[in-house]
Formats: sequence, C-alpha cells, structure tokens
Amino acid sequence: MSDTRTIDTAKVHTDGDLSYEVIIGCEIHCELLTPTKAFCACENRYGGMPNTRVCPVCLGLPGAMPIPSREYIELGAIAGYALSCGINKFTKFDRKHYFYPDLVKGYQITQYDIPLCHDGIVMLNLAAADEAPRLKKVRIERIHLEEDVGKSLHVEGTHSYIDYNRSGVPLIEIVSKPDMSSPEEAALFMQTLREILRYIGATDGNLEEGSMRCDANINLKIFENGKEFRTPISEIKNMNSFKSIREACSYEIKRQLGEFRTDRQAYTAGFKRTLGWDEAKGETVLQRTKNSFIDYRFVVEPDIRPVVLSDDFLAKARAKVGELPAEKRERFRREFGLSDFDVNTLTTERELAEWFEAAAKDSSDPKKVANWVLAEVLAVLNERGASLADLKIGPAHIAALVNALAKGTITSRQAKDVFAEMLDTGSMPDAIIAARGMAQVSDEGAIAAIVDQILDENPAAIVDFAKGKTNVVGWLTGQVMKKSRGQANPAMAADLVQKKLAERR
Amino acid sequence: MNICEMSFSGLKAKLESGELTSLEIVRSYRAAYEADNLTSKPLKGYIEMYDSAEEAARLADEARAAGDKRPLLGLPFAAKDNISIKGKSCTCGSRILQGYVAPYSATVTSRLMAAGAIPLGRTNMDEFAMGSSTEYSAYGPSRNPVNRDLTPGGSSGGSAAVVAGGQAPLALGTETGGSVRLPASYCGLYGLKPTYGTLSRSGVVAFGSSLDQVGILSRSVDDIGLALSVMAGKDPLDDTSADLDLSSLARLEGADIQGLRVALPEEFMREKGLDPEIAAIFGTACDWFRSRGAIVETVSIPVLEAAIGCYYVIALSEAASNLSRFDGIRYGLRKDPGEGYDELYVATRSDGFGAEVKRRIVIGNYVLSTHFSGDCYKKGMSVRARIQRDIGDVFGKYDILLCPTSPTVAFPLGSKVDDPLAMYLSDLYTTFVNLARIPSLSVPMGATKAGLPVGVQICGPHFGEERILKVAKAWEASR
Repeated sequence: MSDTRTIDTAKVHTDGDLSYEVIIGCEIHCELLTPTKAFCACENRYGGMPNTRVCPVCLGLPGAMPIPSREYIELGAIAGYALSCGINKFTKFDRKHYFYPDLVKGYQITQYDIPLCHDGIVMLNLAAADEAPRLKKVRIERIHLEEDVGKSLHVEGTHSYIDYNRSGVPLIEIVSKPDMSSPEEAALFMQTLREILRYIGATDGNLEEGSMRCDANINLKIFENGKEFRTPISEIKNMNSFKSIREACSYEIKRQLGEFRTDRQAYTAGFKRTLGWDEAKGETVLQRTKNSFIDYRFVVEPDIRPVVLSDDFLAKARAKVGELPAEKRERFRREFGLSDFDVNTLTTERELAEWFEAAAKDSSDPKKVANWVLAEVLAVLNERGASLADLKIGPAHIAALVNALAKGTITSRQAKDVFAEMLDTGSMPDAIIAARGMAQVSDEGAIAAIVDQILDENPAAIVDFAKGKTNVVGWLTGQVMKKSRGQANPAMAADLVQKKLAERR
Repeated sequence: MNICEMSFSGLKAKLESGELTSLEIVRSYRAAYEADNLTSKPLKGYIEMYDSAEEAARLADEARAAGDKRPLLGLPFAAKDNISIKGKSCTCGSRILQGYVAPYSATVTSRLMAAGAIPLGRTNMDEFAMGSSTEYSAYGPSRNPVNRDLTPGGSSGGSAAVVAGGQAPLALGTETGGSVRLPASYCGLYGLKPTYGTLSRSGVVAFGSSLDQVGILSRSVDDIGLALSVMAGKDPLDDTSADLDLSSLARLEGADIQGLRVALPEEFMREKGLDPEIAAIFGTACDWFRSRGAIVETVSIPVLEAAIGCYYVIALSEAASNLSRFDGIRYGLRKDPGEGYDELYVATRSDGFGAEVKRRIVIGNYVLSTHFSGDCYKKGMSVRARIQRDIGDVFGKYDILLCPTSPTVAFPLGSKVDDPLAMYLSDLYTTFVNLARIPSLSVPMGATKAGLPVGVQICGPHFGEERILKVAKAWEASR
C-alpha cells in the first residue's frame, strides 16, 4: 500500500485557553499459538489446574536450560512479515533482570539490542464500516521475542499464590513509533494488530484471557503563547480491552492537561511515569516514577546460541503469511463487486471470510451469497452464540441454496424453509427440495391448467377484472400459488393469470 | 590388590574378568571413607556418600551375571555437589540450597548411569564453584590427601580429594576458570576441561554459563577417555551442546610425538609469581617433548595478560545473573521477616549466600549496570573475542599449547582465605582456556622437593580432546 493513500491525523485540539496535540505510542504483548512453551516441551495452553504444565525449565530450577522452540521463532518471523517488517537474519536472546515471585529465574529471556523484526508498518482504517477505507500509517519500531511470567494471586491476609502454568509462554512484543494521535487510534491500533495476528494464526487474540496486552505511552504537545511544551510521558500498563485503552488514554489526556495547568510540569528526558488503569474507578493509578528507576542489567543469554535464520527458513515463513485482511478486502471488492459494508463485515474474521469465499466461488451469484451469509448465517451464529465450525452446514450448502434460487428451482420463501431444515439436519438443499417435493413448477402447460381451473371457480373475479379492478390479478395469482402448494413459478403464474383474464374478457 | 588405588579403567577390566564384583568395589570405597572420617584430619571430600550405592552395586552384579555388557556397569563415580542426580540433594556447597532435592538428573550423570555407572556420593566444593580451595564451602574445607594441612584446590576440591585419597576411582567436577585442572594439579591427578559444548550442561548448576564445562578427574588418561566416550554428544536439553561422537575415545593409543608442534606461551613464563620449582619441572616436561622429536617453540600471545581481568568481568556478570533465581520463593532456604517480597529476598540471600558469593554477585551486578560501569561488560566481551581469535591463531601453527597449570603448588588451608585477590591469582594460567573455549588436560608432571604434585596442562584446539588425550597417554606410558 502506498503512502500517498495515507492520511495525517495529527490534530490540534483546544481545551479552554490551551491548544494541544496528542502523541501515543503502543507496546503490545501478544501470546503466540505455538504447540509448546517458548523454551521447553510443556504444552502451551491457557488456564487449567495451577502448576500442572510446568517442568524444570519453566520453573527455572537449578541447572535447567532453555531450548528455543523453532515454531516460536518462525511464528515471530511470520508476524514480522505480516506487519511489513525487516527480519534480522542474525538474532540472539538476552536476559532482563528484576525480582518478582512470578519470575522464576530472576530474569526474563527477551531480546535486547537485536530484535527479530524491525521497521514495520500497520495501516489503520479510520473509516466507518460502510465507508471506503481511509488509511493511516503507523510505523512499527520492532518486534522482539520474550517469555511470559507466572501469575500471582494475592489474597487477603498473609499469603499469595503463584501459578506457573503461564511461565515461559511465548510472547512477542510489538513496539510502535509514537504515531497515534488519539485514544481512538490507539485502540484501533490494538484492534488492527489483533485482526492481522489472528489472520496469520499467530494468536487466538483472546483479550479476556490476556492473550494480548497493551502498554500505551502518552504525552501532549501543548501550544501556549507561540511556545511549544511537551508533557512528561506516562506509560499506562497492561490494558487488555479496546475500551480500556480508549478510556485510559482519554483520562490521561485530561489529567496531563490539568497537571500542566497547575504545575506546568514539562517533559525531561528520562522522566517517565508508570501508571495502571483502574477500570472500576475509571482513573489511572501511579505505580512508579523515575525515582524508583529499574536497572535491568541486560546480559547476553549464554544458554542459547545466537540464532542464524537461513534464507530457506525465511522464505517459508514469508509464504505462510497468506492474504492479510486489507488485501482480502481489496480483492473481495474487486472480484465479487461487494459494498464496503459487506466486505468489511465479511473479512473481520479470517474463518468467516474463507467460508464466504468458498461459498461464493461455488455459486453463480456471489452477491446473493454475501447477503445470505451476512443476514441469515450471522444471525444464526449470534442467536446461538456459535461459531461457523459448530454449524451442520458448510459453504457448499449456501452455494447450492443460492444456485437453486437463481435457477428458479425454489422461491425465496421456500429457500428460508430449506435453510432452516439444512441447519437442523445438515442435508444438502437439493436433497431437501427433492424430499419435500418443493421443486418449483415452471412448466407453462401445468401452470396454465391450474390458472384455468381457478378462473373457472371464480367467475366474479373475471367480471371485476373486466370492470377495471386490476388488483384481482394478485389475488388470483395467490390462489394459483396456493393450489400449486407454492411450487408454481410465481412470475409465470402472474403472467398466465393476466393473459387468461384478457382472453376471457 | 588394593581396590582404592586402582584406576577407573583398571577396575573395569577386573569387573569384566570376574576378579572383582561391583559390591566389593563399592564397599571398599565406603570402608576407606568411613575409616578416614575417624582420623584427626579427615579429607572431607564428600558432603554425602550415598547409602544407595551398595544396592545399585548388587543390582549391577546381578545384571552382569545375566549378560549385561554395558561399558561402565558397576563402576562407581563421585560427582560434585552442583551436578544434579534425580532424588539426591544438590546444594552447590551453599546454605541457600539447603533441602533442595533435584527432581531430574543432569545429562552427564544420567548418561554415566545409563552406561551402568553408580553414583557414590556428592563432593565438596567452594560455594557455587567460586573459589580455589574449597574453603568457601558452607560445609567447611576439604583436605589435600598428599598433605592434609594443604588445600586440595578448588573449586572441585572435594572431587580431587576423593579420587586422590582413594575414596572413588573417578569424579566429575565443573570448571568455569580452572576449577577442575587446579585441584587435579594440586592433588597429582589428571583433570580434563573439555571444549565448551563437548559435555551437556543440562542439570549442572550454572556459574558462568558461557564458560562452564563439566570436567573429569582421574588417576589415568584412559579413565577420562572412557568417561568422555559415554557422556559426550548432542543433548536436546542443552542448546550449546555440540553434535559429536567421542565413542572412539573408549580406547586410546599414545600419540606419536615426533614432529608434534608445541607452543609455549612466553607471557606465562615471565610471570613473577611462578614458583621456580614448577618452572623447572615444566622445563623437564618441555625436554621430554623435545627428546621425542617434538618442535617446541616459545610464542608470544600478548592478549593473555588481559585474560584474568576479562575472565572476572564475564564470569561474575553471568554469575550475578545465574544466581538471581535463588530467591527463597520456590525451593531451598527461605527467610521471611513477613514484611513483603523485597525483605524476603534480602533476608534469604543475605543469610543463604556466603561472603565470597555475595562479593561476586555485587561485582557482577556492578559490571552489568550501564548506570554504574558504562560499557564494562561489552568491553569484556570484545576482549574475549580477541582472546578467542589469538588463541585460534596459535592452533593454526601448533598442535598443542603447553603451560603450567598453576603458578604455585597447593597452599596451606587458611593462608589465602581472607585475601580474595591472592585467591583469584590461582587462576592465572587457567582462565584463558575457558575464555577461548578450548580443551585442556592437566597432567601430573612431577613433584617438588617437598613432595607436592605439579601439573602441566596440555591445551588443544576446539574439539581436540582426542589429540591431547593421546599426547598425555604417550607421556603416561613413558613413566
């Protein structure tokens, strides 16, 4: 995508006597869907009985050594390619030190000065769902690999519990440039990343389970009397919903404006506040300032050899990226002639997009398929709280149904019945149509015979028609349809009623 | 036949010929250990001798009777207290690992046991392998079997004491900067530090991970070849382990010394601290090589002067990092004043670590902190790269490098314990080997007038274990 299509959203806001711009950069931690943990053979899965998926390595027992999983590095590279990053062919792991009970080794294995991926791009679509895309470019500074830590549960009183099932789960940390200009854009950034990373199968993106967490760095550029000030940077940690990102950033903007008014506190290099977001109170809470500065004492991880990625490895990773959401939208628009709204709705989830596409490819009318999927199929999913995989029908069912409609084999009203039945039984539409004897009658002779019969039974209607009451045509057609048990081709029936009435006048 | 004075491979032959049983062997070492404990100056090489060894020996004898032909069947070995054996304590000579029982075995011990060998006990060491005398062990020092008022060296001093003192035929030690070769030299044993990556470090408690290697102490060259032949090879549990097959080392022939190119580093010979008696013995070793047709030349490797400084920068940085995990939360000692995590960490680590370990953690963290020391760690890394390069260049022109293992002989217990700098200088001739990741074998080359053993190390290029063992074998055969 060329930069010429992107827009600049940096905007000067006013708040009373002050005008300001908002500057936000995000760091997103994302758990990867590898079969094992990052550095050991323990299964990588959420939840379960505490401390059941642990081994000497992820418990950091004396003498245990980390072995980097190949899938981990590969998935990291795939994510890098999906975000248009460069990949460092020579990379390595480092140790970052701090003490906390859920950190088993007193250090976290991460990547310090040579991250796996660097200099990427994410395009945010600022347009509404029914509008043509309006794209804003956000630069990705780096993506590095690191391991997750255990989970502490603090209870009232004297005890804490720690679950190490999450210890050693593979993460990527995606660091953006400070390119976002509003809380909405920050939330959209996380949302867009989630969509892309789910598309490539890098993560399940389950926000409630903490599969993706966002730290937002935010400050303001304030203009006052022709002078420009910057407020100190606040880092709001560990947000795991789009809503909390929006609300926490909005709150922080107001707080920083207020602070500037009262204390005129301005940016100084190295000064940074670390804050948490209290969702219940709706306010940010100070955790740390530079006074309690942490020296992470980075050191090369000597237990893992430097990683040298072969051209072959990288080519395979690149090939596994597949079609990304934006590309898919573009293609659906082009190939199937769908509206922006339809395209956007169909492509939010890769599974749905692929389901739709399979049906569309088998059908003569992709637009109709889109309508069926968006109206009927999604309604069923919402109603049942189910996923596509739970349904008894597949794309072939919808394609066959739409084809039967297009050929005039069944009427739209019958199609709804067929849809309901195939949802229940999983039978193919053709089988249902045949079994129920629904096939629409398009044999002119057969319909004409019914029309004659109806006209014979309703002489008064013929008289009314002669008097100019044309609405009897509809009523008579209805009678024909009823007699045919709905199987007559309605258009043909209406034509024949007209024709025969004219003959009998 | 005195079992306790036999070599590991000698015992193997007697077991295979049926002249000895494993049970007899294990009981002999047990008896020697118990008798020694009753003396006024016991060796204290073992922290613990395993009661399980006799049962294992009985099973080994039964297995042999049933046709089991595993190469080390029924042969006992001792292992340093920082090498894990499933179900056994592993405390690294430290209070902080009090009560910790390893739930898994190190690859080296599990491979020895898979080959039929029997763990006899765990041996004393300087706490976390930091020291040159075993005096920094939380269990107190071991003694040198040659002279019980002297240190056996360290940090694998317990391993050296039990082998030289007739309480085990072979022992595993570990090295970060000379901790196998130094005690081998002080106790008159062979001691090998293999090439980095030859032996898996999985299950071996880390000190300086980029320098650490498991080493072997024994009475003969063959013993080392035999142990290496079953322990070496790629380990899926250690990313830094090398994919190599050393099974051919189970049988060693002496090398042909004729034409062997031998380098003597000039810098070490100039050292003021070098004991003249050691210099003289080293001279006769050089003469031995010359007399058999070797080309012996002095080479200048100026970067060696920086080795010990570079070593301490890197080893202590990695040590500070590796020892972070001992926090009292999951295993080992916990001291909890009940005031929160930070207080728990401080109390546990203050009480659990000895003074020398604390000194090294503080130095290591100082080095790693860019805030305090700038790019000291990075500089250390670049000096190391230079050492690796220059040592590599030496092996482009020479087959082996020869130098004394230590500038001094074993020193009296208590003489350096309060002088860390003097203690650090025991490593003067050994650390460059670990920095360069090359293999080195300390060979007992003679004794001083006072009868104290002197070792000379034969260093080889990366994965040159076979070469240096064969050279040593030729020397051993000529005695």
